[in-house]
Amino acid sequence: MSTREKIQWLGMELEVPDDWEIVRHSTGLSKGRLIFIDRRFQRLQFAWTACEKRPAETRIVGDFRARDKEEDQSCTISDVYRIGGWRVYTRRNDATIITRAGLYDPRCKRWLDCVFSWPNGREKTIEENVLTSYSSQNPGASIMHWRAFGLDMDIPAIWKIRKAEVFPGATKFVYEQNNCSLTIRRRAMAPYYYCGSVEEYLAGKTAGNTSVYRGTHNGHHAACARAKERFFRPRWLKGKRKVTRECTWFCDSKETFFHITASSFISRPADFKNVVVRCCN
Amino acid sequence: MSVTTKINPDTPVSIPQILDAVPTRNSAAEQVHKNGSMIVRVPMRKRWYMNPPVSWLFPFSRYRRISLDTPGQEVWEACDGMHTMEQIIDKFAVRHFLSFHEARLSVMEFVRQLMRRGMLVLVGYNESSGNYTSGKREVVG
Repeated sequence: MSTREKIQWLGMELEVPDDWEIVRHSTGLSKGRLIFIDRRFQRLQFAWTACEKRPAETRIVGDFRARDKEEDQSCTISDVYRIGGWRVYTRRNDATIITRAGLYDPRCKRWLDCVFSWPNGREKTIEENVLTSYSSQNPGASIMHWRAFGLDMDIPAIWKIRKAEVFPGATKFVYEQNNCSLTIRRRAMAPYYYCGSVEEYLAGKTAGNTSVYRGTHNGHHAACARAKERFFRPRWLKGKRKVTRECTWFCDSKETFFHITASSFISRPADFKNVVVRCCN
Repeated sequence: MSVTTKINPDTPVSIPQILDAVPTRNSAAEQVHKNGSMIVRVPMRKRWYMNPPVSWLFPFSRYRRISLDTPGQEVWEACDGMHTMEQIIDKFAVRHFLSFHEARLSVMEFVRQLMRRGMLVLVGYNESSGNYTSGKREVVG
């Protein structure tokens, strides 16, 4: 197996070969999936479903096998065997081999379902490494780790993910908590739009009369800004005004911009101190 | 003798086929450098309405032009008929610190646009004849 890449998503963690990339993702805690492809083919579908109590695992896997047999009478289905805590079986036909593995994770209370597809020969070591690398975070932990799409972050668990928008060279994660929002952006290919001054870049992104000041982030020169909502409000509603804080920095080793925007109420300022976004080492 | 089949650039082609294909420039395409940007132009087929007297009233351009920014120039220059799409994407990903998939989406969309404008073709792997070394190539765009 080549070098492995750690993926951390919604409190779940697994290691996949570094040439596997996520092409479909879900942000739902109760149900969702991640689909990984290598350069040419889909390799893995990692799906989760919230499940308060331990389900009848043997029956679930048995149902999957029966359904597979019904779909394709000519395929060969192996017996169920174990890799770590996973219950695994393979389905072979002339064209491809599919490995399916199921596991109930009592810590995060989710049923997990992994489907590997091997159109050009099965790589059992990769399967085993991916399955055994799975772990989950303690749901009571105050910090949730996120690592995917070129971002590596520690976000306080009170922030719930609302959406993750991924485009080539541009990633945006939005978190929410009590009508406050936290946005983390990554923008690659910076030399084509970066003028050389982080302050100027941030000033161009924010409202015209926002003051921009210097700071540092991860050892990089950063620009920060703080702006209050300018709408007219009665004095007694002053606490409802929103304040936006921004911090942006340019990571020269990756030629990438990282941008954190946090929006909260003046009366209820959100705590952004524990938000950590790593760019290089 | 080569076998050529012209297919609509929007025809779905599998990703492995695209990655193995070799983008080749239209031999009639000309490059013009202007104010730091590159303009690529290809002559257009002359239609009946491009002749006088209609052309006296509406001066039609004889070329189809596209202005390329710096990343576009990089991809255009890499499309020399020698490198496969996979090699071009790899090089682009390394140069811009992107993942392979990010670079693939960007480069493939750009190549698709150039194909629509008739500036590039993808010379692909012909399954019926074997591989490139057989000398038969199929134009898929």
